[in-house]
Amino acid sequence: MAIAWPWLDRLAARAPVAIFVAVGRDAIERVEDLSLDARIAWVASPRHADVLLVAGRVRSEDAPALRAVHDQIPAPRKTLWWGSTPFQELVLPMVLPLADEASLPILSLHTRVSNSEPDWLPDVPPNPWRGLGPNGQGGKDMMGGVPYGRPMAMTDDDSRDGLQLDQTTVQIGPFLQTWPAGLVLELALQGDVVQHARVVHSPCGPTKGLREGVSSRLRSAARLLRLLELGSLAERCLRVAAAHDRCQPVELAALRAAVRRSGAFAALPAGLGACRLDGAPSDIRSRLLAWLGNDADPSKDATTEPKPKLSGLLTGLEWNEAWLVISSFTPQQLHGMAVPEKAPVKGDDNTTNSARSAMEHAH
Amino acid sequence: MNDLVSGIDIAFWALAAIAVLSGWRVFSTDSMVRASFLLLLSFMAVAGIMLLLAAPYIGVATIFMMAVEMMVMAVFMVMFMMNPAGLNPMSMVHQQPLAIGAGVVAFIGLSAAVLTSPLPDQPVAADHRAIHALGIEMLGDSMLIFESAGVALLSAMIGSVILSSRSGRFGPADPGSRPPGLCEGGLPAGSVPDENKNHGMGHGMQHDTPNAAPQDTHGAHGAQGS
Amino acid sequence: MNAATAVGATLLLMLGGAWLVAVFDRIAAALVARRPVGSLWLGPLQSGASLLVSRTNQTEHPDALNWALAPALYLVLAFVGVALVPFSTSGALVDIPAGIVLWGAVESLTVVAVFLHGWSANALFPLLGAYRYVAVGLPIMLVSMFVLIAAALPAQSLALGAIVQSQAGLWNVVRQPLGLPLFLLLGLSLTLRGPFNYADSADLAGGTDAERSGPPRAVWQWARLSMAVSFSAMAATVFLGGPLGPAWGTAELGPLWLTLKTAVVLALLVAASHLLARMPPSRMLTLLWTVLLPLSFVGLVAAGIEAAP
Repeated sequence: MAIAWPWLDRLAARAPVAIFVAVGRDAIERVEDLSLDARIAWVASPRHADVLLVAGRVRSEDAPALRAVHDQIPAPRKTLWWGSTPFQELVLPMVLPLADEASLPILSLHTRVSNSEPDWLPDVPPNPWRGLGPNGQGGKDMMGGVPYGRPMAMTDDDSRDGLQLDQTTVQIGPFLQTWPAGLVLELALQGDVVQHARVVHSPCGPTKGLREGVSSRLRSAARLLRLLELGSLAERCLRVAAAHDRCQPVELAALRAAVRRSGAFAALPAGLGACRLDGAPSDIRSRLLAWLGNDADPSKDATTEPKPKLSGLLTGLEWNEAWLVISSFTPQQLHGMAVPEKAPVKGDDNTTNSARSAMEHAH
Repeated sequence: MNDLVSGIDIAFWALAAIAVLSGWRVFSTDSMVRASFLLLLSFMAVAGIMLLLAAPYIGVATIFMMAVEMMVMAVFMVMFMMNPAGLNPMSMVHQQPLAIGAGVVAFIGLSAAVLTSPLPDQPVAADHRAIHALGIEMLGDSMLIFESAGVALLSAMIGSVILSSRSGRFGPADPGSRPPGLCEGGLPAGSVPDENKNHGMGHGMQHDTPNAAPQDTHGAHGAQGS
Repeated sequence: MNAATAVGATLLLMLGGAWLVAVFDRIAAALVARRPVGSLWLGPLQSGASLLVSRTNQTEHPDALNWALAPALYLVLAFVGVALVPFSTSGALVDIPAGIVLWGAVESLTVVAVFLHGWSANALFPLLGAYRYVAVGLPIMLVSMFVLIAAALPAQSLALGAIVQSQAGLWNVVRQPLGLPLFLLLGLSLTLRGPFNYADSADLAGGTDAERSGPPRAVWQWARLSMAVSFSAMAATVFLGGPLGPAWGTAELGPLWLTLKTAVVLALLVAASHLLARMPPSRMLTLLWTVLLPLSFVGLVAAGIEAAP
């Protein structure tokens, strides 16, 4: 359902194009520079987007997720493949090399193309559930079972105080906004508290030659600031980083003072995400402060100390804190910390296999 | 008597109909969260009737308090049923014969009380200061009742939180705190707590492994039931 | 003023105010990000139009009725809030003796509306946004009620008209300095902004709004802006004297003073939402229950001592 008046369409055509970006390998900096364009709006949910931008090479294990995300974009939907290889079965996909500027192609794609792309996934429920169970909902009875094809959440102890609440297992990633590209986590959530975390797919690590130094640290700081609802300050960090990439002189003291005045350091709990990194203890506050610092020392990645495990750091944290901790590491650091782990051995649940093949899509 | 139906009469009958209908729907809906908000709607209709009875403070305060209370009830239900929107259609009623019997008896009793007792017929003056009168009553003649009720409620809340907190009465509550023995090293006084963790709820009857299968590889959200 | 004029003035304040909030948002974002503002006046209309022309989506098995009703409820509550505010000394659209308590009901029903918006979508991130918001939104409501009762004490009445009259000598923002800052925090929570944005936040991919597109989403965003106007009008009435102007002004200028004061509070609200960081929910809860609630109670006691005969 949409409202169709011609003057409304003319007014809407002047608004920024909302894009949802599926970030692949080595593309996040190009995407962040694109988002500084006033004619492009980088949205957090595919439901809010007009155009899907697939930036950088997407791994084969992330392809089903990409199909699911594409089908969530409301019609009329278009896709631009920016530095990535489109799927085989697509007819006349729009492809662009990563080195090119994407603003104008996105604008022309939005305004000139009016046909909507068809779905990339079949419109069937992920698991057969109709007709099963006493109410036809696929379950056994009121508790337990697999209603509507998904294992029902059952109680388990909260790790913090033993309270018995429902616990549900979800997979998060790989295409959230400002999420490490390609990272897929399986979380057992009680409310919004992470009880167990497991890395399913590690992030697409940065290949060699990615720019180090002030610019990449500022970009990491911008990602963290966005999670603190300081979107405009994050944009300022990105602009400073982009200016630095263009070899313009930048002054970080004013930026650091602005971040301090906004209470970002006070808002982050001290001791959150505390671990030993690069030979010294650090927590989220010290890492953010280091990113906004003025010292231009290169990344101290080459230590022999084993990196802490990401899943261990996330246990017991709320979802907000968990994402803050994930964002407090640079992509290079995260690549060593988020190593895929095997799933725990299951019992004789035949629900396991049916739910694992679940693919979610909705119109 | 004016035998034309006035606006107030129409409003009264409309609000009464909403209250009864939404009250019925509380029991015939299949989702716990919807039930609590339908109850809120019923209370709000009753509050509207109180406004018609020239009790503005009580009417508006009823809306205020019931909204908060039904909201907390809905959150508790979500906490114990982490399926959003209640994916499983479930029946909201239990022990139906007993409940129907109790409801019919209560209805007959209340109707008899209303119909047989002489109800007052005192229209209040137009410039009656209802809130002022209420304030004088609450903090004058009835102050002892209200203040002691408030203190009793507060102490009950604090007591329940302390009793259910992790540092239990006789030690940490995690391993199952037990009262000390009647003699040195003897059996604990009172009943021995049940070893089974899930007592009395019927909730943990099926122990599917909580961190069971990954649900779906949802690209952006990992949503559980979308 | 008669009913038709009052309704018209209320609607005008809501529509114009919503536009003004969007304009202030753009200015604030551009100032903080150190970039030029693009399309200042038409920008909000263009963004709203682009939301209206997109398609409405469905999720799997949502609660369709509540999902559609929640933005409408939010909008109606904003209208009720503005209707309570006296435009001039002759009265407001809704003039009941328990005006403050009705505003409290608006606050609590806003929590219900946001919760329903998130719960009805039948998806994880909206649900997390919904009940995270409830966890923070209910305590901040307690803070606001203490602050409002403190403002009602000098007036010896719960009616907004009497509160306005009690500020004829001195505005409440001067007499009760804790009042307006604490009330502004409530405004941030009611409009899901900045440091109190636990419902529609970036770490939930848009939160309660994440699974919504099309005209219902446009109504939700419009309702958020309208609630900002409603809150600001209430704050201007209770703390800044409402339609009261300087001694040399005439009574007919009451609506103008109210509009100016509302705009000032709107600017403060927008500035706070762009300049302050948001804490993790548990930290914010600790701050609320251990610092803000006792502060508001101290303010209440001080107001009571001052107003005692």
